[in-house]
Amino acid sequence: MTLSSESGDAELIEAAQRGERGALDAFVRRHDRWVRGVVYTSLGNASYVDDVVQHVWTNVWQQVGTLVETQRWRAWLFRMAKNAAIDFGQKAARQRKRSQPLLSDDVATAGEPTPLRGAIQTEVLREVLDAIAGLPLIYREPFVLRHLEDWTYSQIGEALSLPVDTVETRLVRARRLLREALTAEKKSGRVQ
Amino acid sequence: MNSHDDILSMQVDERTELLINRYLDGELGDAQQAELHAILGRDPAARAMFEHYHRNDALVAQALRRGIESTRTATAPGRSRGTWLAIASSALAAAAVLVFSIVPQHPRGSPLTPHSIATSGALPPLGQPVEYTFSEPVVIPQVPARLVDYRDDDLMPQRRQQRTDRELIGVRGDDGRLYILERNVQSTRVVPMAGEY
Repeated sequence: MTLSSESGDAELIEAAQRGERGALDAFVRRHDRWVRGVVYTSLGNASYVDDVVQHVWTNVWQQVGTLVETQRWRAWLFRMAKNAAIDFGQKAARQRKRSQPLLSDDVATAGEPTPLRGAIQTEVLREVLDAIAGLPLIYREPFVLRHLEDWTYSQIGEALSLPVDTVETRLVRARRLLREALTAEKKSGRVQ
Repeated sequence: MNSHDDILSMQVDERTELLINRYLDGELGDAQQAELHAILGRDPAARAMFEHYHRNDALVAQALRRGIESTRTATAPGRSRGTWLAIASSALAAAAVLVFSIVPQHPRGSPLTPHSIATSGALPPLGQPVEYTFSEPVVIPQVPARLVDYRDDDLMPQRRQQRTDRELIGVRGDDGRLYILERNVQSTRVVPMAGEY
């Protein structure tokens, strides 16, 4: 079978199971961002995301052969990412009590057009990230998947093993809660 | 509180909020789009909510993507280069030992060259001795500039571990240059050691 950038994800998984080189690499490239997003928003800490994500892909590499229903790769991968984040979070919680902000200071200022504008924008984005981090997990997960990857309700439901109606309800509530949080920030003068 | 905030604080019924959400999520059908447009045309509170959500969505996507990018410490150029340099150094050291310990011999069958080994795929299993001859010039224009492409190592640390199962042999070609022949369970490559590593 010839794999291309148009190959379906299940096809890539099946090719990887047959040991075809490059199939899993292509799969990783295609899905690294949202896996990173799941870990990122689960941990609430930017510093260790990279380590956890690498752990996720290592697990995928090792366990891809065990995935029987390859069409259900989305739920499988989501669970793997979430479990890795939870495992890490539990270990980290035992080691440290203070969590760091979602957006690390050193990278938060990257790519700013002007110092002042960049500072304002960075501050706004930080407030938005804080507001997202403040969402209950059941709302945060579909919300992040929706905004990072533009997934449909159906795709999000598949990943989270939820009915489409539930996904929709959670997204509505997530937006509402985020609006309330940002409005509160605005009233307190932190967001313009 | 300004007038926009006043409007925003007004109640919007759940149906309208649902339609706004569906629209922003690309899940609204044609009939519902017409319904939403009609509502937005007559209801300033719905319009304020729509604009607010629309703006927030853009901010959320931007914030998340930037936040995610901020986590990619492993793909920083310095680290990748450092990794590569460390591995290249190890390969050179291994080759330097091997190049003096292996005496090329004439094969029993057709001669093996770095090129034929790299391209034929007809290799004995790992661990078995191989006889080499280097009577032909090594001309491998397709050979990549690097011994192994490490671009994905940061994503696939397991691949790095797998490479410990490889064999590295340093050889000197007829052109006088030093080459590394790397063989693992999946492939064999021959790479000139001169160049940018």
